[in-house]
Amino acid sequence: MAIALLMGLLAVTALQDAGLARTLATTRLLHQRAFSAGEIGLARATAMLAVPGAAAPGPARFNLPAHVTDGVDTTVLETAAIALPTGYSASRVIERHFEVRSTGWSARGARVVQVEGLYRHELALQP
Amino acid sequence: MIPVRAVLVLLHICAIALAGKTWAADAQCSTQFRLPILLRLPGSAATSTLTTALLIGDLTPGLRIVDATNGRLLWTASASGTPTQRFADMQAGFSTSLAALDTDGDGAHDRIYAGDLLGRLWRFDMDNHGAPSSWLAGAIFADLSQATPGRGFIAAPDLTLIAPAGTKPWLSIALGTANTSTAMAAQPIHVLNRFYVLKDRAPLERWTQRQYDSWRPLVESDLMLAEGTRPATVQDNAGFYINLGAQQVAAASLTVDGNTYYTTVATNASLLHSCVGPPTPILLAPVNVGSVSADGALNAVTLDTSAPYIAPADSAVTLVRDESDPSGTFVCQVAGHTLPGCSVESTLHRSFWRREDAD
Repeated sequence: MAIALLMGLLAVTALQDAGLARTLATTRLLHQRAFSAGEIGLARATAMLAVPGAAAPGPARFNLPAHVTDGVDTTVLETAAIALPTGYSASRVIERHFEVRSTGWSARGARVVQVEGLYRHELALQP
Repeated sequence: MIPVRAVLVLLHICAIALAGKTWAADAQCSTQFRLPILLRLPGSAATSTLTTALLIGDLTPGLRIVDATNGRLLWTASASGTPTQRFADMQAGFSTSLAALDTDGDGAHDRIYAGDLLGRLWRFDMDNHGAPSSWLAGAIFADLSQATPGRGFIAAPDLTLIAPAGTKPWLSIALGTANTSTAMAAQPIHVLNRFYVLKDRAPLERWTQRQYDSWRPLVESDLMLAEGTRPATVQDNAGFYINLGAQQVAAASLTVDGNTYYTTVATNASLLHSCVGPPTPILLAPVNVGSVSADGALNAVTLDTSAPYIAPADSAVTLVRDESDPSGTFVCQVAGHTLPGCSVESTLHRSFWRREDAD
């Protein structure tokens, strides 16, 4: 009788461990998916900024087709237009800086925020 | 027989088609040059509003600032008369050798470099918050005049921040001299021209007039001669110069990735003659291109022709979008000719990346 009780206790503990491990694995998986979604947002914003002379795109929010629970929010800020870029003539070339903030999300509230700084050289406009 | 005047007119029209502008309409040959600058004027309801003004230099000694919208005279400086501000050494005109900077990033220009017709480079710090009588503090930064008159600055200073790893940054000021004699001499005056690259060791520092008054202007003996492919400067040097002989510098240089590209024009004629005499057609002359690195090593520039370009004398190195490159590269050109190895990429670069989520 005692042996059966001990075995049952062990079984319940094992089940709890398995459940916890599964929960942790799922949480990790969802965070990885949120991270990937954030990277997709970064890549999308970077591609838009890579067009020569493109202005900072407006905020965007979209779901990923692979998982309806996954999606991304992106905002792009122009943080600086340096009129005195190192190594280049002032008033001829400027260095324009952007900050891309991409928040990827997935199920169960998984959320990863990535921030990337980008810059490019442009021709300066005269006042 | 074709009249000479008709040939000159035809040459003028060709020059317009070639360069898109006329010598007479351009800075060197007009009686004044206007550099647009942005000021934050006091007294307005919104002091955050920037006013577009014009910094004007011409053949008469001194500088002026006028409101760009209504032409109202805002400020004058000279050595004599009744200027808004008096600078005792300002006995020469400034022509087109003007450049302005916004060193603190607030949108308004606060630093001016100006080369005068006597071969002296001026440095000014500008603060428009007070009365116009104290807008500028400044003095001669470098006195590069020569014993015989006739050599001065026409080309605008090319200003570049240079920041080598591990050393304090400096502002590189690149500009060359030209024959600026205004006398209509029967024989051209032969001047020995030079291309200077000076170092302003206080690129972002605002100096008071007291600091300017105690500044000893740089002279040629403070500089090193650049004449080969080896570096001509040491870190604490004041800069360097290149001997150009009779070649004149009539246009601002361009610095790309630390290398300065400049044009020289092979003519002994004063580039200011047509400003004091009757208007003359655009001056077409052999234009050459030189290049020098920030440490004074001369770079070889391979032109796409064995001879110099016959082009307007004020042909500058310009940046033009390379339409064949979808990434938006800008290539350097002189009079429509592309300079190999001189380009500015507009591709995106990553400056940082971080995660901000706490969970």
